Amino acid sequence: MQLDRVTAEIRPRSDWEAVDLGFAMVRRSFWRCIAVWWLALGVPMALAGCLLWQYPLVFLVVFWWCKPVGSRMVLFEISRRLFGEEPGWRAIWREIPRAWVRRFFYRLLWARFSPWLPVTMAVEDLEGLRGKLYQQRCGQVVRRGEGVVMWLYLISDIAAAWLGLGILGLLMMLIPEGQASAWQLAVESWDPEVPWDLPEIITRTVVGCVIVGMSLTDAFVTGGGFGVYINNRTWIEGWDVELAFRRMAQRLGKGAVLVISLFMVCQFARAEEVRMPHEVIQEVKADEAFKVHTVTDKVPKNSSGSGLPVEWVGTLMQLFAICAVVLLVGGIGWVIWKNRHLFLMGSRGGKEPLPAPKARVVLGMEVAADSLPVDVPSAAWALWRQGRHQEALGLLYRGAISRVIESGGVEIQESDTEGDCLRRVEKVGAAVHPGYFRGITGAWSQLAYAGVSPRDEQVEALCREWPFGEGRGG
Amino acid sequence: MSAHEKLDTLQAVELAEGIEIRLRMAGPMLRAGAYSLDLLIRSTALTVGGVIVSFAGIAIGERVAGGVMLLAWFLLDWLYPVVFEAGKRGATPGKRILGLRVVQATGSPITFGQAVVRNFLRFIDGMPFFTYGFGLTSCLATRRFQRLGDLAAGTVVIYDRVVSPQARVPPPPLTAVPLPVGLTADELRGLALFRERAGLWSEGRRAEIADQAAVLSGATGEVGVNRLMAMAHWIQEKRRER
Repeated sequence: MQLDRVTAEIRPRSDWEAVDLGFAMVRRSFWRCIAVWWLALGVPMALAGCLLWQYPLVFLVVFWWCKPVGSRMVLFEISRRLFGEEPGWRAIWREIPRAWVRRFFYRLLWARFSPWLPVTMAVEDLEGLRGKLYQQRCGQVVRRGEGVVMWLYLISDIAAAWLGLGILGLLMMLIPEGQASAWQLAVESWDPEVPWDLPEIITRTVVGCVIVGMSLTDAFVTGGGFGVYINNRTWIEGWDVELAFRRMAQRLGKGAVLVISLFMVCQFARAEEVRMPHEVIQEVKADEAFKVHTVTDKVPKNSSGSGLPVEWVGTLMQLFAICAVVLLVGGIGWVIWKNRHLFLMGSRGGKEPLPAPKARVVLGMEVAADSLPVDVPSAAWALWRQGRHQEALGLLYRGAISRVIESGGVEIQESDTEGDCLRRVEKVGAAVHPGYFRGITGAWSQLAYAGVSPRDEQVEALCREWPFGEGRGG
Repeated sequence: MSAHEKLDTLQAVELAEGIEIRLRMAGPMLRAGAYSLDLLIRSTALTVGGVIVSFAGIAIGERVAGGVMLLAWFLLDWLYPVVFEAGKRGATPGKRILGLRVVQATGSPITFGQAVVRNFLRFIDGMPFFTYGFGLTSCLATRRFQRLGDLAAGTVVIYDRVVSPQARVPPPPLTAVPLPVGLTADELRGLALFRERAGLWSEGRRAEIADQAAVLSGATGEVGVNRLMAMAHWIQEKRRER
């Protein structure tokens, strides 16, 4: 670092002025800053973009996460420019891999959310400090302008999104009428009732705009942080005074040295003749006012002072922690209990899938066992004798279906037709009496669809031959 | 590199009398903060006014009340900054809270016409879609952080409140040493600053800085520091005598 080659006016500034100086630094080499930002992030992010083409939002998060690499390059550019260097493209190219790997775990994982990032990065990259020294130095550097840096950090992401929307708006303003058919279609397909379900083209465009906004904001935020850093060092290291002295030395030149030193020797010799300073000091210190008095004041230890009861707070925090743990464990237990069937199934090795729920309604008729009388054939025959033929046969058919589902295990679905039911029954085989089922299906279909009522004997036979147990009456 | 090209947040303005003043230009961050504060103040005023007018609406009729509200909104939106900035303090309440002020590029207070131009062009600065993208771009692209309205009206926003540096003044040296050679104003200022701010620096750093002026003090290290202090003290005493 050569202070006399500095290319900005060094003076102690207020915090916001320091940020403005940083902005001005970025403005001066704006295109180079943007270029190095994209050079550092472009290729890896293009790869990531290909991989995450289907998940633009994930891509945006990844991009945001890797942003400090770009900031590092911007910092590299403006810091060298400040001290009169212009890094060539080769130097920049060599710096990029370093920007990626330098303290990767610290910067990109551990301290990624540090609100002092714009300033501490300068300590890390430019001073090259690590470990305890780094911590110490950061503590020193954020002392001035801490609030400003936190504002910068907080605003940066909001501003990026905001700027992204601005860019999107600008693009939409610039698209000629009728040219944006794909975009138009996408906008029309967007349903305002489910605003989060955006068409892909819109999501991708928005993400792209936000990324461009991010690159612009990040360059300036990095500049602002660097401005604060420079201002801080100006304050605590007196850069401006040093520069003023250097200019003075240059003006006075070497010739003056001899004259001045001669003058000084005379001056101090005279001064010392008059009085030796340490004698004066001794004299002054002998005064009563300089005597050190000691007063010991004992404060009883167990008195509750006016301050916060620290132990209480500690106990309270412990209580909170215990409550949190109990709640967590209880919550996990509850979730396990609620989902215990998953584990039970797992213990059975998953070989026995859960039985599919049985159909309760087939052909629009209730077939659940509890909706039917216990003795189906007798009930049906009684109805038939009353002349309610449709109901009688319906009950009989319903009962038959119910019984083949319940006892025969035939998988009849709610959408099945009579033909489907018959086919399923026949497939299962003799256990469910397919012959009888065919007969009753035929009788029912004839009555229901053709309006042909079967003869009394036929119905009586059907009731009598009821093969499904539970009351063989007639 | 000459001093001319050096980057600075101050802008020197030469007045007619040959006096140079420096304006401390304010950047976009604090100005955005002032704008948000103004927005807050305006919307609070509108809300309170709205409640009052809606109560009055029972008496004067709902449509009249609606009309009054719209009118108030319009006037507040367009005239609030104009009236305040053309006023004595040259700042809207938000700007005043944050210590900002609008002045002409020459440093004199702005005229009513300038306030009108500056604030009516807000509409352009607010594009696209009220994101203030144009204004921000213009602000960051110009040397004096001017948005389009500022450029058109020839105005700038400056920091009005001078923050006094809270330097710890070290104890005065016992001796006062007269300057061996005549110094320029800039160099005298450097000496005074050295004395004022030395309390902020570590001892090693103090010696380092003093070594740069070894030509003047004729010594390095601790001795040099003490001599420079003594000289600064001498200058101050001379000034006090005058």
